[in-house]
Amino acid sequence: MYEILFFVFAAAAVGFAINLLVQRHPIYSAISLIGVMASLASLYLMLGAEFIAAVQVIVYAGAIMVLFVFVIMLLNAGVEERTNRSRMAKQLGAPLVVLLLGLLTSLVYRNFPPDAAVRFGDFPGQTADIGRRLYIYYMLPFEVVSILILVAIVGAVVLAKKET
Amino acid sequence: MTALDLAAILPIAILTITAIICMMMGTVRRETAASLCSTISLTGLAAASAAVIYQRSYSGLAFVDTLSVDPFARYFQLLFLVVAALVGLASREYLWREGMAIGEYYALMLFATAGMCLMAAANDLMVIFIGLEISSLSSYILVGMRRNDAASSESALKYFLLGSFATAFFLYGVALLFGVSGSTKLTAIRAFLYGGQNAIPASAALGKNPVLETVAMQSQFGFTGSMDLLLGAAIALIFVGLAFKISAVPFQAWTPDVYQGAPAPVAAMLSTAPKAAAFAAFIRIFMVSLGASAAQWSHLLWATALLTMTVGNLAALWQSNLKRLLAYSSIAHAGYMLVAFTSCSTDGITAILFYLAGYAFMNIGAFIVVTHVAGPGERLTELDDYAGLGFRSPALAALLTIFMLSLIGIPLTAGFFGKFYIFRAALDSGLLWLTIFGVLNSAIAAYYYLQILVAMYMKQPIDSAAPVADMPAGARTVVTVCAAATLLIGIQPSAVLRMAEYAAQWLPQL
Amino acid sequence: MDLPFLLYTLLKIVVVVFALLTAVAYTVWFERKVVAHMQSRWGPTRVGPYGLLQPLADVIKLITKEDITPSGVFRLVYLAAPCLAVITALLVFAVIPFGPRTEMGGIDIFQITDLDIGLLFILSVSSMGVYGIALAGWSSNSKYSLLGGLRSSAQMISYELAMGLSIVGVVLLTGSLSLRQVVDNQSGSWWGIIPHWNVIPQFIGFFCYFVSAIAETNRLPFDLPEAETELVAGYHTEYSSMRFAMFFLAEYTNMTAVSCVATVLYFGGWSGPVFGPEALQTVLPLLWFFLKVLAFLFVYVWIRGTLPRFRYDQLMAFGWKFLLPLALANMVLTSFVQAVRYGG
Repeated sequence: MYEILFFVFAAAAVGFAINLLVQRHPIYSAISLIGVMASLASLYLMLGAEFIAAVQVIVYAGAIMVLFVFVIMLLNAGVEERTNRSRMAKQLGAPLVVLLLGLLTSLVYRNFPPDAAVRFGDFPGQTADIGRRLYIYYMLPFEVVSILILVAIVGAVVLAKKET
Repeated sequence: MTALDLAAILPIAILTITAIICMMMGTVRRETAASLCSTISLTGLAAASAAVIYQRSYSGLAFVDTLSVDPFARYFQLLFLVVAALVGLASREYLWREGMAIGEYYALMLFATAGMCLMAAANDLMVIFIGLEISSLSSYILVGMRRNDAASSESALKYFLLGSFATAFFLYGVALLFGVSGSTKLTAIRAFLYGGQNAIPASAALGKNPVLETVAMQSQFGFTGSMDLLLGAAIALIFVGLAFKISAVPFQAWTPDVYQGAPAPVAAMLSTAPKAAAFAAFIRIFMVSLGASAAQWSHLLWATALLTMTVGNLAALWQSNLKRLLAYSSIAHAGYMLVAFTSCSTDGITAILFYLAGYAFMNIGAFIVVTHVAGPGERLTELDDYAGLGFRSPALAALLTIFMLSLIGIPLTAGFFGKFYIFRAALDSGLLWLTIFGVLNSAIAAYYYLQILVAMYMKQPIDSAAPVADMPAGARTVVTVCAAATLLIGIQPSAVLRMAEYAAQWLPQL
Repeated sequence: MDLPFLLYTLLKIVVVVFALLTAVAYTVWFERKVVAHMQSRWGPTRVGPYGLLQPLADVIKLITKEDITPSGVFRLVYLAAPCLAVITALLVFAVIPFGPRTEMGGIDIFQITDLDIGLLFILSVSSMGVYGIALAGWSSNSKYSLLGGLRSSAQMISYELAMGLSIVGVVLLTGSLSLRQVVDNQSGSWWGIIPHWNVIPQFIGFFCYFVSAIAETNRLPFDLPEAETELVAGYHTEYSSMRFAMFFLAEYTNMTAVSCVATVLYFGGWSGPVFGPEALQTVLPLLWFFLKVLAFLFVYVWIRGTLPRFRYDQLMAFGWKFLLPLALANMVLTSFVQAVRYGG
């Protein structure tokens, strides 16, 4: 049962990701990205990482992608134009991607025994534990991210506000 | 929070608070804002420097091994603070002239400095990443702050897109490295790679810790041959991410466009402080964590160093825009520093640290002079605009001459000793060919720097050329300080060299 | 995961969905009746006694109407949007506990599943709810729809923050994200009379939650996405027949969901006086739950019958400049009090 669901969601994630690249209309790409996020969240959920799954949906699918869709709607962005200029990217890119994927697959496959690689439902990161970890062992990175966010806000305001 | 934690975070906290105060100065009238903000930020930077110096009585790992208090971090932090002070002071009148947002400019500059300080002191890949993001994000915005100028926005967008791409590479590398070693702490990764065993530090294993236990279990499959490949991939990806930040070839394409489009004082900062921060992270990650696989990455460094020097210098030969020329020259200089890095020795690291300090002074000086000559709207940045500058404005030309000579590496300037230590370290490590190429490159570089001197002193000024206005007080101070420092380090290098040596010695030997 | 468990769960889902659809149909009837009486009218009276069969008649009418797909729409998105709206609305009920844990054959019958992160699940599902409306507005290829869709996405993004932050207060009091634990934590009473409900310590949080929830469900006074005086019918202008009905369904399901969540978080869920024989004891909590939800639905209708619509800039200013700071202040205050209470 879990295996079937895993393959369903994994296939959905990959399919949406490919669709994201293939689609020419930005809104279809955005929807595909939402699909990728949602499928990933389902995979996390099946691993038992409930908190990560929920955050994945709230942050990515629920907040960031809504803004994407919102901006696309607001700008009424049309079908993207393709220049087809870079032949090198076409002819070199695809084989290199296949090579990278093959390399990673073989690495992971050889490193982790098949029965140990996927363990459904016993990912040990419960919400309280993640919180404890975040506030004790990773307090500094966690707190410092606030500076990063502040910088982003200041930047957005500076670059977008009306000329005085 | 222990006293060590407090000491470790103090400079960064001071910088952040100062930045927030500057941000609030956006509400003050523009006439007073510039001087107010620069005063506030200078005070903040001075306080942060004091905090860095106060750190001397502490040493060790703070915040559960995420932040390291050591001379290496302190050296870099002082460098960033000095750079920020120079750039901040020099851009006071510039901001007013170009009608840029003053409070936000200073705030972002201080935030960037805080991020770089974090990078230099981090003992955790995640902290390095966050520091990198803070400094990069601030720089993207600073580059695009001349909003009425299309080139500025274009370069900001280019920088942002390519920069995010590079950061993604870095992050992917970090993820793989975590997968290999089971930790993001630099010291723990080192212990794992040298010992080949579970790298979880004792402090992290306090209490029940299921997340890390899982990871540890996976790591117990042992350090097999294919794990080595995974490690190689991690090293390569982290290398790409950091090489972008120091604009090493082949990841240099953004540099000229960004420096040309950025406000000139921002370009002055970009070419020095973030580059130094990237070097700090580079050195720390590779020497501390990945020392065990130096055999793998030193070849990579060798090739990159050679390419970076050569491409940077050759491309600079064809430039007629001074900002672009300085951009290519900064690529070449990163190449020289990579030569020293390739030697992987304490002497090499000392040479890099020394060079970074000298380079900061001469490059900021040069950029500030360019800023001033460029005039309102930064229109006069072509080589032809410098024709006869030696007659029109002798003092300015003399200062620019000092900086150019130092960039060439003429004796009695900081650049000479910088190159000298680099090539000596390289020779000591048996990098004969790289040294030869480096020296050849310096000779090529002399051509384009001298071109500027030729234009200033041997060409007649164009009739239409407007006389250069007097330099405003802030910029004048900065240029004078830079020139004095360039000469001082060139005549008496021992003080800076001792600091650099002390900092470099802290790093573990390979 | 064995087969009986799977079947039981499926059965629970089917029962909940059917009960819900019926409830939603009668919410519409309830609303029409209440609003009518507020305005000195009779409301539906013709179909059945007191118009009780009116929902049925409406459903038949909507199903048999012609389903028009206007030309120039982005077909796939246009067709998928209403389904998305309904699905996200229904998903919330997967984690809502309707009664105390009552096992029958090892399966809890009053809750579909007790997720550890129940509250986060609700937040994440409701954050997805905006897509149905936004995409419907965009794909209709009509200016009214687009404006409605834009308004609704902006509104939902803005009020989601306040909603999430106001809930944090409850989480802090409970120390868990599981909805069942939230309810269990509210059992008992102060001095034997005042029930131990979260609404008493968390009245600011409740206010923020309920106001932003009304905005999230696009109901008056925050129904700008479908303001008929300005936008015809907003995002669902171009929809007809069953697809229109699905938006309708989604809106009322969301209302019910919000009422259920408010009941669970702030009003003690199913708690209430339990007495009588065993069979009655099993059913009574369900009744209390139902009554509380009904009270919330009444408040919804009451607000609709009373308040005028906000102007758009007022709506944004209210959300960002009043509600969000208030919810933040509530969060800080609550965490401070908790820290003092439990030492630290």
